[in-house]
Amino acid sequence: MATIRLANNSSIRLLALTLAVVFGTLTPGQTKADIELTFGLYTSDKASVMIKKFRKILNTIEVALSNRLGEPVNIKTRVAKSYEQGVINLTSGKVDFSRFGAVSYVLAKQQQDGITILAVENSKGTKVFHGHIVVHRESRIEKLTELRGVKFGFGNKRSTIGRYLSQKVLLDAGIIASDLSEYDYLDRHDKVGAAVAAKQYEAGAIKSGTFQKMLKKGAALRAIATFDVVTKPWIANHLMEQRVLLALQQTLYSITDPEVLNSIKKQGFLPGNDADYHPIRQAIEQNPIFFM
Amino acid sequence: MFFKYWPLHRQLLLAMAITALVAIALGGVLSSHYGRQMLMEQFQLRYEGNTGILAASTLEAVLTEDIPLIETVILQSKTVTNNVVSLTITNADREPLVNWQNSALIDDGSALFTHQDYLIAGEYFGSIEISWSLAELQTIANQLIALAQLFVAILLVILTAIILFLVRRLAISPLLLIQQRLEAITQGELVTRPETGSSIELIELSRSINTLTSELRHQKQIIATDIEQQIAIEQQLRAAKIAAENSQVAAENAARVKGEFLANMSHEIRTPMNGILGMTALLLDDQLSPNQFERGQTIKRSAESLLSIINDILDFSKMEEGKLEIEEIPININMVLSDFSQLIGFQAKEKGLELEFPPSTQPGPLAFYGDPGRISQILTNLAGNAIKFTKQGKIAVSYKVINSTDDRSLIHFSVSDSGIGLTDDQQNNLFNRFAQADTSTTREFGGTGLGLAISRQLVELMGGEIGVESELGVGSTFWFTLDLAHAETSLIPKIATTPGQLNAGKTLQLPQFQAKILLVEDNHTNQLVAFGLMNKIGLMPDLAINGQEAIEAVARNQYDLVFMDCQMPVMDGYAATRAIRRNPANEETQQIPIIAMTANTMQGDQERCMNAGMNGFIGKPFDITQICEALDQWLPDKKTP
Repeated sequence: MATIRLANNSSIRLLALTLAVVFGTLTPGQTKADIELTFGLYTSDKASVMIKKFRKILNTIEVALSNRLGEPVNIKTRVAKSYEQGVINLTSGKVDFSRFGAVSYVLAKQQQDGITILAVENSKGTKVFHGHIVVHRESRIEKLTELRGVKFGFGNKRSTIGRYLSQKVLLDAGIIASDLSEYDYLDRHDKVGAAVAAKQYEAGAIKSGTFQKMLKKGAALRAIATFDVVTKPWIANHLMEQRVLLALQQTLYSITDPEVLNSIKKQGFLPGNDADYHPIRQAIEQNPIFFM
Repeated sequence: MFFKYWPLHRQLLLAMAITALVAIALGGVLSSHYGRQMLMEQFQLRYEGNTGILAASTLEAVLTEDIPLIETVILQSKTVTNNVVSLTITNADREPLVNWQNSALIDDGSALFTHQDYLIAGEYFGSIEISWSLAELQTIANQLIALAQLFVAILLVILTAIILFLVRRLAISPLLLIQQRLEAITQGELVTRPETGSSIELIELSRSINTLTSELRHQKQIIATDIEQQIAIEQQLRAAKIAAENSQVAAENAARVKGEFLANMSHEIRTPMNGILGMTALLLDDQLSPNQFERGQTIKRSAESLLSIINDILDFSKMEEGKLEIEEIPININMVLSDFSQLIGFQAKEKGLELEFPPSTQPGPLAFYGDPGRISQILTNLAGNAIKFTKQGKIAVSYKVINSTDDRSLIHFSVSDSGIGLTDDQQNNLFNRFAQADTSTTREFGGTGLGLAISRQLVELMGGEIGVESELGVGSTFWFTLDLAHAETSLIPKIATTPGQLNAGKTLQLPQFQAKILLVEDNHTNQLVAFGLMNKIGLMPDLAINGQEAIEAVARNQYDLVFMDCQMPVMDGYAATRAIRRNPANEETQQIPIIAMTANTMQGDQERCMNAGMNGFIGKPFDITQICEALDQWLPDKKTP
């Protein structure tokens, strides 16, 4: 809500100053809390969409965590404009806990070993979901080995599916970057799917959720390969108090409200550990081979 | 006010111009105030919207604290670069992300501030605060105000022009036509015209002017008729006036001619009468035989009777002309009676009658304002008749004051005789002119019958009454009353204007004088009479036959007194007297007594002599006593013992 005041209206200025002093850092909808936590995100989508998407579950966490800790808890959101920034925010302590993609977790873990996985997202009862190598539905390509000489579209350069795991899949199929006639990083999964469906690219890598959604919309896509991907971890930084960390971890596990979980399109949280992300770490480590 | 003499359309133009200016000024103030207020509200909404747009545009960048992106978004906005003075964006920790100042715009303190928080799902992520320049608003406001004022001015000018046009067409032009009609009416053009006008009032006015025109035409006709009648009447009056003036002139001429005739008659009769009476008196003083003396006395009585008749005729003529005038001078009744008694005493004595003057026992003043000559004339007439009609016995003359107030007295005079008396019929007609008791009276006693008529006229002129009480064979008492005003005794003149220092019945003893006298007389007979009478009292006067000779004689000789005739050839007595009085060379001659001796005895003649410088007046015919009285008065020391 916008407010208007005139510069030469000294009384209004004085009132505004007084209100600012009295209410300090309070913002509308917030109450004074004993525990302030910052939840970190990075922009896999528009920041505002991301915030809206997670606000409901964060509110649920606030309530539940407050109950567990016996003191008010307030959770703010901080959105990083990039994967790298998101990692930095977590490792530098600017945020108390974050939701990272798998690759980001691996990179953050490399930078700050003290970070801890609070939980991993539950995708239909497991902590695994799928990625796809897709072609146009009318494409002649049927298997990965036929991808030589095609124009390929990847996702974001820091994306687990969009880059590291898909390039690991291609590498395992004996195809490296130079085997492709051309490739580009198209940033988001939907853009990759759309580009392939429009025959701008002959093949591409997208996550299964986007693939299913596009199929429902009639996109002319066809998957020629599917690979597993561990779900995203929620990670606490190395500075978080243990009691808070444990309480937060328990809180995540305890969230069962479908409406809340549906807001992030997950089914809940599952316990997770660093070993769950070895495949990702391996893909990252072998990725330079794809470009040899 | 000076513009009340302006034409109506100019006054209207002035009033509407003032109204328009006031309206423009008021409209300017109101449009400035409300226009600015409306614009401010619009700009508030607009800048709030722009702030929201900027907030939305920068939301994602603010959420991720992408400062370059924020700055890019801001600088890409023309709204920002054109209108924003300063812009500050803070993050969720209220730390400034962007603090941008527009160097192209100056914050003059009148900026408009907008503020918006970045809120998502109730979570605060920062805020944007913008200071907007009002320069554009000011410019637009000024333009709008100017446009509004221009619009109002044009509208008012058009409205003024329309109203003036309508006023001129609907009111002023018809009024000018009406004015022209009224001016034409004043020029006499009384023509009725069709009733026209642009409104009921003007039609009514036109109708009223037609009514006025008709009425004026009607009035003009009436006036013309009246003027014609007036002119005719005036012509008749003028003719009548001319006729009356002519008649009056003719009457005046006739009266003047008659008056001149009477004066000439009087003069011409008195002149020879003076000779007759004078010569008769001289003759009777000569040594005559008894028979000659008797004949001389007969001549004298006949002449005196003739003179009395002539005097009565002249008086009667004056009365007929209305020229008989009554003097009002201070008089003493006793002196009047004394003079009268001397006059009538001789007649009574000659007839052997006793004349009595019983003294008045009535108290009261003796000095009155009256005409002594006319009172004496009335008494003389009445007493003369008494002597005439009384053969033996006595005549009694008396007076008494019968009524007196502080300033006036009613005096009763009576003349009683023991004569033949009158019958009642005779008494009734006695005071009519030319009337006597009977024709036999005329034959026996003579007379013209004018005496009582003249007396009656004189009494009435003096405000009194006259009457008679008589018993046939016993006698008569004639009486008259006079209502006279009181006078101071000191005002009574010492000059005796009527004859007589002699008592009735007393023998005339002539005094003697030694004096150098100049007689100025042109008539030879009168010269002889005067010389004869003066010789009898010891005087030997020098003679001058006209006024010029008189002047020369006075210059040559030192005279004690001059008897001056008035009507003479060469130079009359009036001019000669004035010349003697004005002679600067000899002061003594200027003081010499000059006594008029003239046959001009009409009313005013004595006054004319006095005005010329004369000292006394003797009318012709005169006698020796009048000469003696004048000498007694003016030369008392020349009287010899």
